[in-house]
Amino acid sequence: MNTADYRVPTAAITENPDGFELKVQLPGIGKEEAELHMDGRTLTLKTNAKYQNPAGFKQVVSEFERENYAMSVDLPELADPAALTAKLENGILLVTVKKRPETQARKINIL
Amino acid sequence: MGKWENAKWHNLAHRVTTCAISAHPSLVWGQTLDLAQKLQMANVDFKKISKERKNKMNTLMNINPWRFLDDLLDANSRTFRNMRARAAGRFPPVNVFLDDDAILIDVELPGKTSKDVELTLEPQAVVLSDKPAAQESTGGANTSEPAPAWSRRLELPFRVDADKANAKFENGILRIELPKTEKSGARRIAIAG
Repeated sequence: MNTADYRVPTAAITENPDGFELKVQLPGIGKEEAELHMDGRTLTLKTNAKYQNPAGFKQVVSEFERENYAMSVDLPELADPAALTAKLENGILLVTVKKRPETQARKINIL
Repeated sequence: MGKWENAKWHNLAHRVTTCAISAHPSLVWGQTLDLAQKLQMANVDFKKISKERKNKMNTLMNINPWRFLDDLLDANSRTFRNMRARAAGRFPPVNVFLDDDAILIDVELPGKTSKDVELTLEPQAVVLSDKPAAQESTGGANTSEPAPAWSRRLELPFRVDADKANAKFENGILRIELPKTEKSGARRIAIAG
């Protein structure tokens, strides 16, 4: 893959009691244009949108680029790669991953 | 010119050139030069200085070599304010495409829908702003803290037809299509009398 054609998107990962939430900004990327791969604990994102400037128009202001995005992130040790869901809506990719059951806080009964 | 006079001149020239040189554009900050180089760069005219010394010396000495740096580093200058607003994500970036009879404006608004953005069309400008009241209803893709309010006005090169204008959100990018109004050409005005 030619890395020059890809940009690392703005992303944030947050933790909650049940798991982790990864939010990635992918403006202009549709659901079928994004690919997610899980290899071990590494989550890789790659997009393959084929954007073209409107034909016959001259670009007069350019404040953002329509590029493809690529990033990879190592999920935390506590995360369970099997319990992973992803949703791409309005240019925001939301990946939620649950924590492994054995690492979750639990109540211990006193005998 | 006596020895004492000589020393005075030397001292004076040194002070003048240090002052003038400090703001010289070809110098790297902190670069040191010997006096001969300084004099050459500042192009000091000793006769002129002696003539003006009595009345003009004060103004020469009042040059503040730091002033241009202050301007450059002024955190409240317009350039910096705009950069800060952009960095804080206060208003969204746009791409504008122009044709002979239409304008296309792409606005990058990831996570936003038609409920979050307000679009107002003026005869020759378009105003984009957010709708803070609707921010709660965006569901899962919303951040916990509310985004800062913004509004952006884009001047257009020609009048547009408000009836034929349309705007559509697609994957977090808002595309606004503004066709040129047919009536924008020259108009004949009858002269009375």
